[in-house]
Amino acid sequence: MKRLFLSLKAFYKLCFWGLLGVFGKPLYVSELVVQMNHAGPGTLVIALITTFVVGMALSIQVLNQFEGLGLESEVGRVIGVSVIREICPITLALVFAGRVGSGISAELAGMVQREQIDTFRAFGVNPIKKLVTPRIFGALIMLPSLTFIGDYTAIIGGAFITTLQYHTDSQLYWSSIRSILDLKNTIFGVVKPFVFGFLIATISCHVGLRSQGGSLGLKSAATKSYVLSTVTVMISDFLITKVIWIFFP
Amino acid sequence: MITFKDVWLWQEMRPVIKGVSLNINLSEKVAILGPSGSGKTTILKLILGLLVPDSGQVLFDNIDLAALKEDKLDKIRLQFSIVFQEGALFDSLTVRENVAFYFREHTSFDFGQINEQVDLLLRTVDLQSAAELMPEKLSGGMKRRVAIARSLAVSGAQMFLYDEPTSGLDPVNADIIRGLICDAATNGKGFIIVTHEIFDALSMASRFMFLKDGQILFDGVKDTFLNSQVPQLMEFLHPYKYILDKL
Repeated sequence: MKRLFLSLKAFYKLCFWGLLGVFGKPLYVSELVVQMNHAGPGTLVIALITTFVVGMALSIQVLNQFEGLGLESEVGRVIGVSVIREICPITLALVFAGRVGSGISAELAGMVQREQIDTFRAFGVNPIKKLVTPRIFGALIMLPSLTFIGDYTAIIGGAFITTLQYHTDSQLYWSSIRSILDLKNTIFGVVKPFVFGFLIATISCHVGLRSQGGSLGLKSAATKSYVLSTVTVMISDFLITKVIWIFFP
Repeated sequence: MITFKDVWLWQEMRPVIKGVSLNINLSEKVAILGPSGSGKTTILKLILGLLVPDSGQVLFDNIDLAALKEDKLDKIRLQFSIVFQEGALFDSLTVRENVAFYFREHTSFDFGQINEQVDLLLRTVDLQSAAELMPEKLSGGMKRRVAIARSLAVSGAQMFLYDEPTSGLDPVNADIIRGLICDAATNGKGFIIVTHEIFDALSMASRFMFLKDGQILFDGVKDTFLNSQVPQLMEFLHPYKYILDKL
């Protein structure tokens, strides 16, 4: 219990100082660019494939349900809302946690084991500002960007199946997509990836920096950060949805 | 002056430092000897404030390190310069970038000035040709030399701390490292070397401490160290007895 409390305390401190690290010198801009490059372009291909396939699969499910009911005109709307509000933020958060989050944990755990974190501190350099802040802001910038691109890719995947396989009118599909681009959907699409990106980066950094013991420590840090990130993302997804519905019924 | 006052530290539910008290002047040349797992590296980390004692105090010029905020602590840390075991070089940086680390973080030198300083330091450790290599391409001895070059960059350091600087090195490389350590300790700068290599300690230090199971069992000069009647120390020195008698 005491261990859990200390771990939570350390996590909150990491979040606080990690965010505050963006204020005041030195600013590690080149480190931020490296992290953004790893998190963004490095994940783009996986994100494109995943969301395109998810969009296609979703459209098959929806079309099969709607076809007999004569609701083909609503297919685009349902796909659009599902993709923007729920499927893309969650899918890409899971991809991000697996590819970027686990990598952050393993990298930082390796640095702990090789005494590189102690070296930072011994040289009067704050490891939170140097290592955690660029990773948090890298995730805060790149996960929403990936989600934005992923939304379009999934919708295009849906259009691909809807128009080519089921021969539904593409005009109808795109006009129903346009009709759902309102404030509420935009809020869902923007808020979730920001929160997920922050959670994944901070949890991964926290787990990595507190890891212990050899190659098993690296393995356990990567696994633990992925499991914790995904569970936290799922729970926060529910909470964000609930809160947004309260404010925008 | 570094002072330990009845310092206790627990890790993983067991005490790793047990009631250690000591005073070390920054100009002293100290060797802390002891078997593996006796708490030698932990002493270095306590000196730098990287670890906080569970009880007792670690003082630097009568300032309790545990009471300081991280930014104040950083200023004290820069009075020291440490070389960790295996060098602890940053994997993602080249040798040049590793050595330039202090200059980039703590000086306003421009790119040219930093390169000039780094070249000078790399010449000191005879590694100019390795400047653009990544740490993974270096041998164990080269890594330690780069780490020493990086530590020499800390201009305000009054004392150097070395964690097992020669362990696992061949005799030639170990001799080079010993030379660099002695050369660095000039102008009143001292060092603390943590090692289990008895001959390293004897060739470089003037004060000897023996640590076992987190306790300092001996603290004194060379003659008293070699003739100590402390049973654990006698046991530690026993394998070297024949050569030491010849010396």
